[in-house]
Amino acid sequence: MNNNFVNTWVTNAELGRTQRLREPIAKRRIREGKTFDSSHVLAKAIMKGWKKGSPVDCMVISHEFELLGGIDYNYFPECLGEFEDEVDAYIYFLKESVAGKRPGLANIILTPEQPSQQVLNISVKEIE
Amino acid sequence: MHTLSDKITIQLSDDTEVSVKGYIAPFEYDSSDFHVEWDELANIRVAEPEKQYPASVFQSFLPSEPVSVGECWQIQEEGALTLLRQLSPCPQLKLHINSGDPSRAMWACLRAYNEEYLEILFRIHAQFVLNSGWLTPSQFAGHLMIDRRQEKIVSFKLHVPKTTLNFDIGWTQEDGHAAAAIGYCPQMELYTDTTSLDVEFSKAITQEEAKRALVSCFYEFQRIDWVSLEEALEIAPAQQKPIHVISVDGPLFDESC
Repeated sequence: MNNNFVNTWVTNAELGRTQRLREPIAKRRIREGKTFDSSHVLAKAIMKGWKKGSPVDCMVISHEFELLGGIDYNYFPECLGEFEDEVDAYIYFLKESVAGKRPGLANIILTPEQPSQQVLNISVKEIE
Repeated sequence: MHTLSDKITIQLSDDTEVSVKGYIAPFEYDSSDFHVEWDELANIRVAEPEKQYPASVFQSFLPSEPVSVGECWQIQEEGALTLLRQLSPCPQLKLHINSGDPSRAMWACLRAYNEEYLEILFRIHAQFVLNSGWLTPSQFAGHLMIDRRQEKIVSFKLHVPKTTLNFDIGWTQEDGHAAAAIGYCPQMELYTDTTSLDVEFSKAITQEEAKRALVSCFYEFQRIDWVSLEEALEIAPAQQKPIHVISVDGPLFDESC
């Protein structure tokens, strides 16, 4: 992990994900003169990778801050397929992400040039 | 006082008493407003604001063998739970979430010493059982300063650090439904009312090094070099390495989630 990745973690509350905690945490930061920048490209890439309602998201993001893979840990490892060993499954997740296979992500890539795609009858659109 | 190479034997005289004060501040926020809606949590106060202990209670925090700076050992259950009862009557080491062997939930580390004094840092994972729920602090961190010549406690502090979120809260409501939340209490601590000493130690590691040694006793994934988001933002493009990210409801290195 140390050789191949830059490893980081963040609480969802710090990024403002937990609605009821936004205001009290913001007030406390002001009171204590602390700041937390959630506007940079890495924070935005993380927010883009959140799965709905997930308490723990594991992600791989490129050094250019593009989301390469992301899973809701509550559905790990079955969200990746059948595995006998969880360590093997997590290594698979990391390797597939780096290889550009986008594990855990929808099998579509949205770009500024093509901001939406039709998948069966479901329209998926990138939200800024 | 015995010295074996860099190792020292740590001893306390049993014939003294230690006065310990305790305080719990009202909760400031939580993810489900339990601190407003749940009376027991809204009105939580320290069980005993001040209490005298025989020094023998603190023997639980000492190593049974000589130790060197940076070395960690397990704290014995009895003394630690006695002290935690001053905060709330029902502390326990087995957490409601399965977070490992409760007999390995308390560790101490010799941070520094000289001929006169020594400092021990410690970390405890425990929770309080309430009438209709539970309260799990992120951790109890603390220190113990000992006068080596007199074998007496100079200062003691045990507290829940003021991180953004520092408590896991569980409330079993009247219909039997149990719900959990994560929240923040600005102050929960036990402390001796002693002035801090400006001691120059002859052998020491930094506070951060001692804390890292302690956290490694609890979490195997501490072996990974974790950096802040801001550091990752700079390091990843510079080293052309992908970023492995965990985005989680509670902090990764404690028990508040």
